[in-house]
Amino acid sequence: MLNEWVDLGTLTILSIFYLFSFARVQSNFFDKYLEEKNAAILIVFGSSLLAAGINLSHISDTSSDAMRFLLSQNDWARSFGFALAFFAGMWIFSYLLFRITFLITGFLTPESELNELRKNNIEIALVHAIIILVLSFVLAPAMTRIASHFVPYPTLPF
Amino acid sequence: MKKLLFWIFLGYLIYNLLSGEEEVDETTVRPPIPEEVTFNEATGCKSFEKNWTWNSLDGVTYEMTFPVCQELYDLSVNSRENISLPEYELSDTEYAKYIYEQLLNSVEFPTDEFAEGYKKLIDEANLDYMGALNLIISSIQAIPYTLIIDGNCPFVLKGIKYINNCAPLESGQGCCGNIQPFGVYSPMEFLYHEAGDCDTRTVFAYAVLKKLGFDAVVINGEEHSMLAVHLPKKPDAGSDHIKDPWGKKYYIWELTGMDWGLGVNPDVNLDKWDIVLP
Repeated sequence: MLNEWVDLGTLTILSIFYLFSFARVQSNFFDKYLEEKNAAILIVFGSSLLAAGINLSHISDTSSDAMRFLLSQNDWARSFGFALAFFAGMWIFSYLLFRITFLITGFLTPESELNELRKNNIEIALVHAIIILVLSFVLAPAMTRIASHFVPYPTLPF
Repeated sequence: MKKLLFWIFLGYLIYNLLSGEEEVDETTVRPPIPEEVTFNEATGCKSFEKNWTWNSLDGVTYEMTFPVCQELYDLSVNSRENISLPEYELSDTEYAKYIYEQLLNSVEFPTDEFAEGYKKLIDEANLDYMGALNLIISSIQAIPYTLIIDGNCPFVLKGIKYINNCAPLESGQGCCGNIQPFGVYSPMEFLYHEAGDCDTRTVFAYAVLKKLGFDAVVINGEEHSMLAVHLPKKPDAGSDHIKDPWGKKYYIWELTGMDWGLGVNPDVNLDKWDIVLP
């Protein structure tokens, strides 16, 4: 029972920190390049947060499995280490995905995407949102599968 | 003459198709149980040896020889036949749990010799946790399917005819009838006959894995039974699982055929399944 509570507490803290820090970094990015907020920017900003949330839900499942197993082995250091590493890894992946989708959307339009967003181009914002969300749905399970390879099997019970 | 033979053959084929009768291959894949069983000092009972050779899910061939104690088998049969059925009404899951527990508690299984056989193979092959699971489960999957029922054989189930032959047939269409109660063999009987359907296999695998210290459960649903094994991460083959009340994941394992990997779903709806033996 204690393991489940520790797992819940850790997931809560890490998830809040993950979303808070990601929203903060994204907000800074948009403030830096786009002076005024408009509907198009909000669509891209919201979709990037949603994509980060999709990635978070996948990695938290893997992290929870690993953490509860390691806690049951009384390996507290590794259980927290794995949880932290998984969340940090997925945070970086979410950020890279966001930046890469700017490149992908850039290939679809002859104009600069940032300029188009400044001009409140809803169409390009929606295309960007769809690309980042679809990529998250596709890539997050594969990322968690890679992550789960780092989780050790139990030792043989005999 | 050739034309006549052709028409006879064609007529035979059409007759078979229309009558729905099919010839079942009765080739057995395991040596028969010896009629005379002698006393063995090493085991301390009348026993004979069985030899299992099988291909593991990892593609490696393993071989294991172990003694089967006749008296232990007789005791298992007697215990199963004398299970006192509950007088109060139980749900399907509770009834299955009751019967399985009675089967497991009546005779100590697996024997130390049998468990040591697996341990020795695992040690020699230097297998890890997953490798050991693959080795044990594939040895059970390699045994051909035989239907075990509390009614009479032959029996037709899901369009497949199971003939009145309790030996392990290569076709997997053997049937052991009048096995009371619940149409399930005890683990010792499965080992003795090398014949079993879904729940006979899952109870056997559960007994072996528990004895060796693995975290496994038996799950039942949709008139079927499967084993489920806890792992702290998704297995390579599949990810289908059932959760216990604490949210602990047990990945499903189909035992009625070869090459089913851990987590692979044999087209069942796991929402309708329950953990029977935790």
